[in-house]
Amino acid sequence: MKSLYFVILVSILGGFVSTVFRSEKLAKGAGIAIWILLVAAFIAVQQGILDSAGAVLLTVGLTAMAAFPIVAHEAVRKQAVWALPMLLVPLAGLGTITPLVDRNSVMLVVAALAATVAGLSMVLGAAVLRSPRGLMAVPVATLAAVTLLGFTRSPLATGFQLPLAGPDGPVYWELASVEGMPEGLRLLTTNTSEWFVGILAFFAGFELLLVFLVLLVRDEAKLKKAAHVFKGLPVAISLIGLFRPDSLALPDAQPYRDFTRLALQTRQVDPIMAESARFLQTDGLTLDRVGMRPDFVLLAFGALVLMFAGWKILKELPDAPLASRDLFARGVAFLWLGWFLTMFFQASLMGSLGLHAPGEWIHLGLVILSTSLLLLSWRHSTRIGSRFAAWSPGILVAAWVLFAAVAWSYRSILGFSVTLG
Amino acid sequence: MKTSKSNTSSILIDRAWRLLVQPATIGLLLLVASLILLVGPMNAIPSSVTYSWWTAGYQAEGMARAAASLLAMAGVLGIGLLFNRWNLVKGVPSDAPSDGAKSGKSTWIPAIGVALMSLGAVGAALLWMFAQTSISATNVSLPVGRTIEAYPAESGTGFMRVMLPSRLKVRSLDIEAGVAELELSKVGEAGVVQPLEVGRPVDIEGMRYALVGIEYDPRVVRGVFSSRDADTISATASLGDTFKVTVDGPEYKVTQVIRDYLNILGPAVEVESETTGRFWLFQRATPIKNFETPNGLRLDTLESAPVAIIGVSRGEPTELFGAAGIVFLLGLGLFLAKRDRVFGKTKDGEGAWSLNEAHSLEEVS
Repeated sequence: MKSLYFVILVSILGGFVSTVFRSEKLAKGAGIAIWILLVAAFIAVQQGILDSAGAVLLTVGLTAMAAFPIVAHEAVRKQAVWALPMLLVPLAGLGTITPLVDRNSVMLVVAALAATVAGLSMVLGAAVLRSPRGLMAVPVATLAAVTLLGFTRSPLATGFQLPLAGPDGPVYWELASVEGMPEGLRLLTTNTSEWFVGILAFFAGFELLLVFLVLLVRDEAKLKKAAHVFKGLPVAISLIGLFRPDSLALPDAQPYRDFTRLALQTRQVDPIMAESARFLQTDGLTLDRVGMRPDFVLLAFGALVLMFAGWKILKELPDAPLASRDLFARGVAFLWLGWFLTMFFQASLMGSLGLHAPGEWIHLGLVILSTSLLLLSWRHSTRIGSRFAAWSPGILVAAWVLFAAVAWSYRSILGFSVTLG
Repeated sequence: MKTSKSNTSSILIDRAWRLLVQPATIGLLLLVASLILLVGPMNAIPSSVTYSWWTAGYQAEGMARAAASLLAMAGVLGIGLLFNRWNLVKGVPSDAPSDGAKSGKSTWIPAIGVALMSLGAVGAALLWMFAQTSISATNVSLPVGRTIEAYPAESGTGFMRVMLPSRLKVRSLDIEAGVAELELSKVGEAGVVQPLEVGRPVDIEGMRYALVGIEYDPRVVRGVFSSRDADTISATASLGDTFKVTVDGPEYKVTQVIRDYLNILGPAVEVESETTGRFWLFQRATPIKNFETPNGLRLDTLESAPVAIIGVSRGEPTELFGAAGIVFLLGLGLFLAKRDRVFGKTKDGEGAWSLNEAHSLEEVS
């Protein structure tokens, strides 16, 4: 069985590698071989010969195949290859958030996420093949998402909150078990740091400046001149890297105590018990980098998209509407695949098609929205169609990013009815 | 020029067909359907801060039906669209020149792929939407030993209690193996024990039970008890459980579990039996001097009790959904397998179709 994995893996890698060669014949042969192997793998998964790890390989393989003709064509390859690293950034973030108990289902979750992210990267690729203006919704969405995460991190504090960590991991405010409330109370502790939030705001401001530059400067020659500002992006990113807060203070305990008192009162327990609640760690507090990971991933992702836009403007890469539409269509197909795999996961784990939760409604809503935008932009030579074709891939990626952030602010993964710890 | 009545109506139908069977029309229908799905649940956002909205059951039958009918309409128009394409391909001679791209006979594969994908996706989405109109599945957190006879489910207007056909209790939980033992019992009858594995839902009496996850919840604690008697067997019990520490000794019920009594006395458990009444057990020294616990009962320690998360649902079949998934996957494979571009002449002049074609940067309308 392991050898089967190996064969599939090698064929997928081979598929990617063969695209580097210019020989179309070789690329075609590799494509057919991958296709046959993937059908075999799918049957194996259905028959129970392969477990859900096979599903992952299947997805990765299909992705490889989907990217295939795009990458194989020389004229488009140079652009599409640049879209691939963008796929890796959100994947790296997602890979860290699969804390489910059942190890087998985790693989199915990974497959579903991989399909969705692959689909999104293709939609992003579709945006990349068009004018850089259509891409601009994405960095704006990542900034909005980071803001959302910061403001919803704590239910007790207003403003942009940063998670705190001590030597033993995240800091909690805890009320031990008391009579009448045996489960106690546990709250994640957050605080803010004005100068660090200032640096984030500076970075956001710089990104927004670039976005407005691309959107408002209509003259191509002027835009190209102005695009040199994009070279400042790495400096702005390294600012965040260099100036991370090394020490953060505990927040004011009063709101936490008030909340605890309220929680006790609603359970008809004497609120005096709230006096025994305390922060579990008090010394050596820093920024919780694990907790901030989604924020950093989002910031890096937005910056990457902007860097790519800048590069595209400076190199004066052409607009490719048909190739863009094709990639868009594939992307939508993969978003549907992601939805199917998510539902398979729910069905195999729970025995039902999910929990009828808003997260599931929104997931399917986004998939149907993607399909509808694809169809609206299908006739890209008509007046309305061309508008949709130019703008909708970028706006679509932005919508997915935003809803993923909303899901995360509810401690969940988009599409999955699980609440993370 | 005179036109007969049937001719006029056929022209009207022709016009309507051309107006309706357009990608943009289908796109518009889908756009409305997607907005229903995206905006609908926002109605249910609770006013207070809570993390449960996103994953808690939500039900809006009307909206699910509206989205389903829009989707079904879009599906029907989609068939028309593919029919148009078929007409176009039919008129193309196999040796027609089409600037190097493939045309004619070999081009049916991606189109069939799209047809299958649409069929699978629309079918599955419709199944999902109709599933939204029934009582939702619910994840119930059950500490070992707790018995329930109903579970809360979302019902459009609020939570309602859905009675289970039998009382449900988690007898044991093996975290390493991911197996729970369920005990299903009717009042006055001995229970039936049913092992439940992660990823293997079980159908019993029309209900489907699934072990969705295991939490080692530090907030749920259980006591480990023993006694000073010679033949003592140490026993563990959570809140509400009964236990014995000697074979023929009395049965105690745990009525309260507290981690730190008054924040100074440490772990404490209140137990009750028929012969002794209620009394407190302390892990550390007893606060009341010369207090002898009945039968020398001791609280050895408190430990975290595992909690099983059991997914409870009406056992609705998911096979049809799986079939839709297979149709979709087949379609996806066909869609990706070949490039496709067709040129042809239609009544309206030159027409072109392009599906899954990324080989050319040239413009095709």
